[in-house]
Amino acid sequence: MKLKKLIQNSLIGFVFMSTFYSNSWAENPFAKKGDYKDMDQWGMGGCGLASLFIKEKDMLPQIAASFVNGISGSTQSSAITTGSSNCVASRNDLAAKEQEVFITVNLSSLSKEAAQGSGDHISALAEVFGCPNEQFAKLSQTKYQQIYSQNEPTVVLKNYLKEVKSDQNLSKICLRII
Amino acid sequence: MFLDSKKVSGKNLTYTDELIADATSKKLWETRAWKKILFIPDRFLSLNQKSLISEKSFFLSVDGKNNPEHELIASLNSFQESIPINPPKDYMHPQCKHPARFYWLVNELKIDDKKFVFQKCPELHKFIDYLDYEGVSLVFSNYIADGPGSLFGHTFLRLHRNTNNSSESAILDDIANFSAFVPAIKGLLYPIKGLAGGYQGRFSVMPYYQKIQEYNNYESRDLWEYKLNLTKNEIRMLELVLWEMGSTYIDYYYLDDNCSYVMLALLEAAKPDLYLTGKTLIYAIPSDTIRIVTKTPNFVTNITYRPSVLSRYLNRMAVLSKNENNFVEQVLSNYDSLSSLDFKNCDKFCKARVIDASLEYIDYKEKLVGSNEPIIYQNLRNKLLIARANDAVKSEPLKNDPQSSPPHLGHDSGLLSLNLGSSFSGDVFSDIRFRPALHDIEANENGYSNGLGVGFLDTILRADYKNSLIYLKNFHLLEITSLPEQVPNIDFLAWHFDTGYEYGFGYGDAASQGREYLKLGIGSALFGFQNQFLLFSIVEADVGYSKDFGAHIGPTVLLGAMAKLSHSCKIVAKSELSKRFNKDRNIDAMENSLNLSYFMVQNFETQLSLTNKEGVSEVSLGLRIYF
Repeated sequence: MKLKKLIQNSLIGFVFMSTFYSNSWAENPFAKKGDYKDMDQWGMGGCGLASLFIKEKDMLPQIAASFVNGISGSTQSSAITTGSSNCVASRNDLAAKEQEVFITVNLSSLSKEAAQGSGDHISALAEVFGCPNEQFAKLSQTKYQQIYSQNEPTVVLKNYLKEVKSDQNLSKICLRII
Repeated sequence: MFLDSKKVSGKNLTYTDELIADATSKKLWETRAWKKILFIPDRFLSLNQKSLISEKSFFLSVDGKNNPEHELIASLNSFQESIPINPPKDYMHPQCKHPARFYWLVNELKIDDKKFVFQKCPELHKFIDYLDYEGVSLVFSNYIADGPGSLFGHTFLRLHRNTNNSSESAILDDIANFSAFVPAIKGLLYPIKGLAGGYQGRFSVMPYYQKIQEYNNYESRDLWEYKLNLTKNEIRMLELVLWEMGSTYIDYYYLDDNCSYVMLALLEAAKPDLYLTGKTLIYAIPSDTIRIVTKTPNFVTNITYRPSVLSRYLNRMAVLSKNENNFVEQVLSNYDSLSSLDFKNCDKFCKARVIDASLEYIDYKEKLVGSNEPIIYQNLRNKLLIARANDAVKSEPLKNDPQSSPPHLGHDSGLLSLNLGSSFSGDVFSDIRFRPALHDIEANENGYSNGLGVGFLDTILRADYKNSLIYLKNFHLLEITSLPEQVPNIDFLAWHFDTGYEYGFGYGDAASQGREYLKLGIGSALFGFQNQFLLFSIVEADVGYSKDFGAHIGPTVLLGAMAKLSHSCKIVAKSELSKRFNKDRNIDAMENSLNLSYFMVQNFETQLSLTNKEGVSEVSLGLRIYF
């Protein structure tokens, strides 16, 4: 059966497989620069998206090498079968790690939309912090230089927490500022 | 304790026998839902009942992969087994490991929880509670301007979170993806393994924003989301199936058992009254699967579009005045000296528009995602961002005009055409053409790109009625044409690749000889009148071999023009001039063609062609059918 499939498939597609510089149907390594500096801390327990989807230490070099795309395959199987074992059920409890992962993966989009004062990613970050969207976007723009002083997700997260806490209004209403 | 458990399991055994008898009388294993949970697809023209799942541990009976009946009985038996006293570390009770089939059987057989031990599955329930999706979309990632390979696309499912303000948190949703797990070091066998099923295809659930970064920003591909009409119960089934699939794998074949085909199988498992997998032919091309889904009545409820960074850049540029356009050009050519620019007659709103366009340009050029820093434009980007924030102008929302019509409006990928024609000297012929995939620039570009063509195994047979002869006229093993449209400040290269066989390749005796060839060329394309008109020229290197003439090499110049006369009418003119040299002599070749296409409906086109090859003119009228 496998032989039949091999012949059938080889006939139809060998050329186009080997000719295209990338095959979008496969998980190709992505972002080869790989400088997602804090990536190797992600899987280390805690709760949230990261711990749900990225778990095993052995898989981490692969994730660092292939970033977004590589979070698949055997990482997935172990994560999905063990489920969110160390995760409290409600999404409201996802906090620090989720915020860090979100900022790491989206930093370039966030910095742009923060400076622009609106956008999908900045709205999503507002939600990750549990802040009202409009006010959060405004704060991101007015405090842009203080918050995005470095291109370093952990620093950006720290700066956000600091600025939100020192904002009279937001400090009272944001739900997930720890 | 010991007695207790014996008593319980004794009682269960009889009840299980009852259940098996009930299932047997109902022939439950013949129901579509059961087969779909086991991932048995409908195969085109085949009654073979075989699951897609490759891992043996997924099946509870030895021949479960091919035998839904044995698998159902083995499942019922295993669901009543008791937990071992010292379970292995990764032990999971069959009820917890296979919840999709368990809950389906519970419903079908009305399994009584007083007579049957329902196991506690805390891991599973945390997983399900965490997911708790309220909607599902099928997402298609579209082509990129200069990447014909991406024309085939990729599909995955967006899983909408249960949230009140869903519009704001779209990118906080999750996705379910099926993909080959390819090791970082691919090795020489990479293409072979991909075709022969040497890699494991696995499901993964991950945040949507990761795919948005990957497709929209890194690869600059638009995303089209097709919201599906699924009930809460069907979505719950989907979640359970995803859990079952998480621990197993499917041999990944690039051509048929690929991401898109398995997505169809997954949707059938969630909603068994869907008929999707049987509608793909031998191979499954992602854009075809989108059309299969959209043609299912009442299944797609809404279509949304998520622009790539290149599309965002084009949209930002589209609203600029001529003056603002010049400013963008100045900003970008002046790597890191924003402050030295003289923004005369440009207020803070004008500046915001200029900066917004420039930022998208930089993000596109640098493939900027995550915390990666730009390399060429690092200083400039920082300065732009600070200047932008200081002006405190809120960005106007993007118009988000798609650069192309949605993929489901495109023609199907297979082509069959019949042309009837005559040479000017009166010889009558017909051409029969078959091409499994995908698109050429003569065809209707609805759902495709205006200047991208990919064709493989394109075969044209000619029946020559005068000489009562049928012969192979052309065979393009692979042909790619990439004529990307002009984008301000970005220069895309036009290129053409073609390899195959042709009958007649030059004046004189070469006109009645065949040859194998390989052509590769680069050039430029010029679009005008809102991309309704296109001129291109490509210079090619051509190597070939013919039995009589031998190996040869030479240059080819390809000139062309394309004009869209209306939304259903298109004219393409091409002229190709070549010289073929070998050690003994050289042969000239010339081919001109004029092609008028009329697009009747999505999958039917008529063509009127006038060609002149090596001085012999012919005219033909044809019908193209896509399937």
